[in-house]
Amino acid sequence: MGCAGRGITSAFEFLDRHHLRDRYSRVIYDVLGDVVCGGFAVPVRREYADAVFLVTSGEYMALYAANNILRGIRNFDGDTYRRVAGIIYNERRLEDEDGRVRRFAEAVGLPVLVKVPRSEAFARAEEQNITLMELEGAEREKNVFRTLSELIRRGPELYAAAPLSDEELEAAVLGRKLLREEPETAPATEAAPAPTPVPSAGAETAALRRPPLYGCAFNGAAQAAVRLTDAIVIAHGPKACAFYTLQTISSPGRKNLFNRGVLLPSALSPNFVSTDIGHAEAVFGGMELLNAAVKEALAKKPGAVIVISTCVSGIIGDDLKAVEKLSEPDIPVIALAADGDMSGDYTEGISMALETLVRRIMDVNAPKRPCSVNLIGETAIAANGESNFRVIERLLNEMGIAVNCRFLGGATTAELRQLAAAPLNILCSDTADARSLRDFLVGEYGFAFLDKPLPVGFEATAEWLRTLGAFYGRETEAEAVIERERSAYEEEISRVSRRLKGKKMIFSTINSNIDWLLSAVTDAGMELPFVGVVNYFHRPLIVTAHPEKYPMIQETYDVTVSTEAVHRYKPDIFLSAYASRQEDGVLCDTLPMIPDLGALSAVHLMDRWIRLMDTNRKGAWENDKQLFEKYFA
Amino acid sequence: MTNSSLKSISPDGITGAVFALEGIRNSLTLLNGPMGCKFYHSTTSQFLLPRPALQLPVTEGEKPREVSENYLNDWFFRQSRVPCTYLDSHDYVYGTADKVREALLYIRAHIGCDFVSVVNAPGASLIGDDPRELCSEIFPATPTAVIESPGFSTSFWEGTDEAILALLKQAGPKLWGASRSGRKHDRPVVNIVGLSVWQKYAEGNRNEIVRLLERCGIEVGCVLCAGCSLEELRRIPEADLNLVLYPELGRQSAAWLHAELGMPAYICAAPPIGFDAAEKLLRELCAILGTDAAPVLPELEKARALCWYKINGVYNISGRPNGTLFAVRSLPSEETALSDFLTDYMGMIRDTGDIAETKAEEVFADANIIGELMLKKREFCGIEIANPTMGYVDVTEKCTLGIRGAMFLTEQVLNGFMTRSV
Repeated sequence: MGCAGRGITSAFEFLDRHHLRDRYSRVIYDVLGDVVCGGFAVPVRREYADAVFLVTSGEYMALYAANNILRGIRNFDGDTYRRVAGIIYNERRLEDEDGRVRRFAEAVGLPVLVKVPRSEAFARAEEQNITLMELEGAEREKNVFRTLSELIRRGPELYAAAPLSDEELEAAVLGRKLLREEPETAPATEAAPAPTPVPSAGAETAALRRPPLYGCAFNGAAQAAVRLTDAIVIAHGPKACAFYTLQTISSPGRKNLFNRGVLLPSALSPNFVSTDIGHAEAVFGGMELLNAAVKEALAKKPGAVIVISTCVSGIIGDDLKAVEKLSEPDIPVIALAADGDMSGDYTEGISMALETLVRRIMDVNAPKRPCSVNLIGETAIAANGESNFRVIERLLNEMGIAVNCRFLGGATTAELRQLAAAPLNILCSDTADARSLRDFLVGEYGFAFLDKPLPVGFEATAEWLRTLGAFYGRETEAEAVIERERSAYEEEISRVSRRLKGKKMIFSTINSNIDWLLSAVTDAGMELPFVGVVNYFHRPLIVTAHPEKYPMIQETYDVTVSTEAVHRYKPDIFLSAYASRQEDGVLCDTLPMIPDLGALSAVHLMDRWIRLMDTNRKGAWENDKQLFEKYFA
Repeated sequence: MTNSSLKSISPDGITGAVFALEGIRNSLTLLNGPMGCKFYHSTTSQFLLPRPALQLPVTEGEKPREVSENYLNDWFFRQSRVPCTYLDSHDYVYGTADKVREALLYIRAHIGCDFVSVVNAPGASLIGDDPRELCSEIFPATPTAVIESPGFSTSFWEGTDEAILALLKQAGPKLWGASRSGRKHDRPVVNIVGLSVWQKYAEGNRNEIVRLLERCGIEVGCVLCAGCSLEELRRIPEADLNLVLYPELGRQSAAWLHAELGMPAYICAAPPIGFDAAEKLLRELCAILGTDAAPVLPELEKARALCWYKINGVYNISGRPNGTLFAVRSLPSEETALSDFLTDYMGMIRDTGDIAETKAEEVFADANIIGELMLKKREFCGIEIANPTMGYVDVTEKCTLGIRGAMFLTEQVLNGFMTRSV
């Protein structure tokens, strides 16, 4: 447990803080030398060590470690800077040991400064709890250290680090022949190894050979877990991790409160705590802290306790699974080993959390609730999440269908336990992440899913209601609801088309499934000469179910509509994922990432366009960028 | 274990460090960490200081492009501030140096800035990676600072103070070299230390203090890490004194400047919130620097007079503010200063108990705390004095320090009462 590398770093910081080096003329650091991480490398950084002595026996692994240290030093110093004093040979009395050490020393170009003989004197001094120099006798051994101290006092000659390759090391120490000395054994056609690429200003993508992870699994898992409203979620890490996550969780809470006066409990007051791993835990391990946090949480009798690991708790090796043993009969303790982003990105964290919660909490034998549905895959970050739910709840209620569980949009542990009770499940959106969750529930538990996600736009709403009606044998109720929605939609479209008919619009979007917008724009009599679609996440996209009706859809790489497109099409309105400034007479606006649900989704947007057109749509403020640059550059 | 928002999962030292370094104009802070650590800092930083967006180079005739227009081909991820190295599990095993090198090379080649810093996220710090030499190697002439370890679960103010100190220690030699003296000016000059751009009303507070000092004949040289330029950083040694407003944000830096450059410091026990605290600061500074606070005193008296009139109007109909219970949560020194003002000047009473359980009529805190108390159906008025906010966008400059700050707080207090039945 804990991180030894961090321990070494901390020890050196401690010595610095207490100005150790100011008090003594010579400071000798006796440290583990094998350079395995940055922490272990601290002692050989230039600001600490003026001279480096390698202590090694003639064992192969000891010499291997000594060679590794030389590699570390060369990384810090380059090929020419001289900082290695030589080798202190600590004899083990192995066969040909002197020869091994000598050959290694010659190969790396270093002197063997002293040979410390294998002697009982060291053990005797240790038993008496004294130094060798305080021991009676042992003059031969003492002389070795006198020689060494005199060498240090005078200041040793220094050499550049010249480590060997593994092959050369084996040749020098074990006497094995170098492969390159045996051309007959090397494949005749083997190409020379590619030179190590030297990073340059133009090679900035080289380190991105692994695609960047979109956020971190810890954050995704925490965002999902806090929506189990009666659970306590424990972030096991430094408070920074919990702080970032809390800001994301609470942001829609604050916005809803400020803009709409709506109080969202799960966002404003999530049951979210942090173990606040500190310096001591980073070095010695954080399990004690975590166990205490879990016990404190259990004492509050929540529905469940969910523990999520961060990069730091993952790196120091805390055994997260061990806390599951603290589970009580009615309160499961659930460990999510997200390890920050080490187990994946934000969406993988969400999947990890949701799948684990289902496995641990859901009762597969829950008695059925005949006329109910589960809503699967509600997103945590949508500011319109609650208003969207109310739209869907109203439509379902009008059909006589209840919501069994919002998975996971604010369900309790008891509701999650009853997840299997609903005969039908509905995806909240047709995204890759939601589909992955659906596949999990279908694959592992045989859940039945409606083949249509929650609807956006009138046509999708009508189809959705019809399918739902067919499943529950409520076709009549469905048609009645559809007629009411149709009437409302047509009335609204008729109203907005009085202002929008004939207006030309172009847009680029990162959204998939935009039929709701395309059909409403067409129904309102608007012209649509260009639609650009950016495949933001490089995953398969379905833009429209009717590509033949919308030949103007093109793939683009520009999330804002380009100036060229504006010049070519001369639109009245252009929309994009990010607002951008264009020319006079063009209304610019954004498209929401998560649109409103129901029949009137597009109408809400159209009302906004009309408002913008009714006002001075290009504010004079837009001309003041030069003033900003004048005063704030 | 910190409890949820009411006990406040507060910002860590790394956030203090990032925003200290982001407080330098035309600078760039590279976060050596995963993307999960980037989003908050990137989205927040772009709103803290009004400044032009960083631009990518374009060929002649091309439309200018901001760094945030680039998506994956750089380190910004469509955000205009705080690029990061996208660390992942591989980097925690093999080290982060390759990515730091490539990111710094990209920045050197493509983005012109006066100052470059690297802040290790906790994971990078844990494995002991120290990009200091790399940073110096790639930017031999540009002043740089590297925060190798912003700490684990330390406080925001510790992170701020440590980062400013690191900046002074590491960039100092490049900033002012050997010529550390040369205080040749007619009017006394002070540097302001101990402000962070992350604080709510940071810009207003800075401008108010600068305004008051100038009215007292004192020039302000550098407002360290709170909107200063590189040129102002270079002139740090020329000042006669360093004024530390929030002690927890600047005490170490002031001590270092004293030890290294022989610069005296005036460290406020608590920031100048309220009329008395502002007057005390100005009188004492003027006495030390040989100037006169007289020009500002009529303004202070007039402000007090106006506040009296407004408070008296409320007092006559409701008996408030006297005896009204308030609660406060912010930086420790700000809590002290604000409590003193509300207690001594307003005659209010501080509820010193757990803010989660407060029955106070007015709560001075961040929006997370205010929101959570609202959720508990508490009857109170929440007055935001810290980040995060509910989302109100301030355009007119507001402040809590100095004379104008005392007036603004008075206004907030009185309107807090007026929203309630009396």
